[in-house]
Amino acid sequence: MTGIAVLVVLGVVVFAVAGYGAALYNRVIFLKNQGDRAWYNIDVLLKQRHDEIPKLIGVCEGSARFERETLQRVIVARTAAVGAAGVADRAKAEGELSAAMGKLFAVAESYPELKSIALFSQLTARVSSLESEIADRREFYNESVTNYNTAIETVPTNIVAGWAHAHPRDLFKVAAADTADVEVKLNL
Amino acid sequence: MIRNLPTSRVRSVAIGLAELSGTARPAETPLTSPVRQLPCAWWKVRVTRYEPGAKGQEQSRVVLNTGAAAPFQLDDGTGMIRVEPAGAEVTGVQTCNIRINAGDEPAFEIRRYAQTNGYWSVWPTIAFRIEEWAILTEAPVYVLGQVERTGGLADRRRMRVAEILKGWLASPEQKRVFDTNQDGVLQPEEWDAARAQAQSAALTESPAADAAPHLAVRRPASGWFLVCSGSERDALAARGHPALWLAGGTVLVVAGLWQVLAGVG
Repeated sequence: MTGIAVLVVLGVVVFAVAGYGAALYNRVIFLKNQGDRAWYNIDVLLKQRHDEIPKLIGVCEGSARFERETLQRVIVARTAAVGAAGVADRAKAEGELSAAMGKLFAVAESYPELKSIALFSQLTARVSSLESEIADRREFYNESVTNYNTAIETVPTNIVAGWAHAHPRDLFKVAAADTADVEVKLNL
Repeated sequence: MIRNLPTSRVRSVAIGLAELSGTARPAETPLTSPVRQLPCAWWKVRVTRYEPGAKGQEQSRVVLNTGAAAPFQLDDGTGMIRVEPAGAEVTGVQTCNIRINAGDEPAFEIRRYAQTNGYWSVWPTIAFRIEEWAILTEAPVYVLGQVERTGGLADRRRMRVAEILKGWLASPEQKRVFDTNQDGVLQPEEWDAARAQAQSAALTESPAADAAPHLAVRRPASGWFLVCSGSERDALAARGHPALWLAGGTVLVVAGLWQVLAGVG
């Protein structure tokens, strides 16, 4: 009878271990999908920002005196951001675009006639709002990816990470240019 | 799940499963907890009755286990989002846990609750425990649920226009104003004019209504919906670690089986 008891208990233990393994596997898959979702949610906002920028440039071009160099920098950065692929390249290009936009807003401060145009104010408010949302979602994405990377590299989840085809992912790192202060020159 | 999902900000929360943390603010119909009379978005009350048993041991029996929930707004500093707690697994803060023995003189609010709910008449002879939990407004709250779109601005304006029209047409004087030919019936063109005026009134009356959030956190079709007083840490503490539950459960099953099989042997 002791033999049967040992077998039954072993069966329960094996069942519990298998259940725990399945839970770990599901956790890895959840974290992987959560990272994908977080990325797509940033992507939506980045595309919205790309769509707003040409309108903003159009308004600025209406002001004959507006610095061509600043506008050109934004146009080039936007083109690079639209064409970038992969998280690391995308993050770098979007950071440069943010920096270019920051410069554009700063330069616009010295053009009162531009600031008096309602459409310009609406567009800058819209782009600023998108920037804040992108920053929030970037933080969310980075936290999701950190949870995922940590899970697939630590015991015991790393045991099932291979079965789930889980590989480390890149963080959406903010470029130094994106966080640097913008020098503002006023035409007083 | 709580550990695996990062906290979103209301300003940038995406549609789908999300975790949010902030302060609960009252929505259109705030509740008041029945025992302590505190403003809240959810409450639960449990009354346990204690009676002497056959062998002199005290026996307890739950005689009331009830609650209510109302939508509230979660404010995290970046914005507000509506939370509809119906169907959620709620962990509130305990606002009352008092045992009143036979002959005790309870605090005013406890006595009032006992009187209004019919327990006061048996109080001198029977002991009770009254427990209350609540999700208090103006206090920290943690939510994990499905973020969905509610009716957009156009929908809300349409509803407001309908409300204004209904109010106007309920008043005979106001109805006569729209009934330009005074035949007692609103003709299609008179109806259109009334609706145009109502639309105009709806547009001008309440900018605050337009600023109301367009998203709501609700129970998903399947999956988790948690509402918890306090922070994420409190939510985790309230639920315990799943691995510990699994390990504890396995140990109990193994021990139980061992006992049964050893007994059979």
